[in-house]
Amino acid sequence: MTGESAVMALGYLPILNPVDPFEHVIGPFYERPETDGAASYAFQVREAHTNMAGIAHGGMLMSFADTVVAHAAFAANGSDHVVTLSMSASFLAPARIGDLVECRPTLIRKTAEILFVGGDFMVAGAVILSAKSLWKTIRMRPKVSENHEIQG
Amino acid sequence: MLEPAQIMPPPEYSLMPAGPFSRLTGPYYARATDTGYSLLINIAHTHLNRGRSVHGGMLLAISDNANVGAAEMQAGGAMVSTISLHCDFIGMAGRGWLEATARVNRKTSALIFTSGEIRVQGQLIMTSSGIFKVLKAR
Repeated sequence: MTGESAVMALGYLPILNPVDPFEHVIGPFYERPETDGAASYAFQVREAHTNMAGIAHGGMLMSFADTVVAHAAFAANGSDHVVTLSMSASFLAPARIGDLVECRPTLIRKTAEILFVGGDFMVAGAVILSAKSLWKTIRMRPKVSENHEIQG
Repeated sequence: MLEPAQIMPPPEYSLMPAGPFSRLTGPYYARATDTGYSLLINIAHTHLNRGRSVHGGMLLAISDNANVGAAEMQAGGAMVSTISLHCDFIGMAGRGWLEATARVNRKTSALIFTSGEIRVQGQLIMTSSGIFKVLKAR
């Protein structure tokens, strides 16, 4: 079993129709709900994700990390909008074509203004990238319209 | 300063040597500067998020490429690998040319320390700092 079927055998489902055009280009990304209400995320390294050395591009890994911590930040904040303040990544080991990169992001702290989110990104049980990211809460003003839509 | 309507980069820029991921998310144009390295990328729909600003992940990828570019200029032809990269999201951009610049702050035999920034129309979008390992030439 290879490719998407192998990923889905682990309980992951593809994130269909991601709302961000950029994620259409670099995806697909996968999501798996966990029993405690949290979620894990994954993507499988393809040739298109690699750099000239033939391993996953650092920018690709950080793009995935940004998307994963964004999901955690949005989930923690309910209807309030959030924007990224910072992303800090340590690259511990390379990821290669075919590797499944997995992460279960954690909310480290939440204040009235700031969310502290972290994630260890694993390949076959070993951490390849460790990320810390800060997000800012943007309070939505109450709208008169009933079609209240959250802007991403 | 580059106007958003300008289709091609200035002639002193050439296509950045790119692997599959940077071709997928590019094209990037590059040149050496007096102080380091400069990258240009013309914002396209495929770089955006739902808010029609450049996706945070794309800004991180651009910062990685710019800091790597500055580091490899100092590495004497050797490749480098990213050990750490920190980026601050300072502003947003939705159209026009992104310019990412980076410079080397220190080089040892094994490591290169860099810092960089991304601007659009002169407005600061992101600052970054990185640490890179110099790989032994094969």
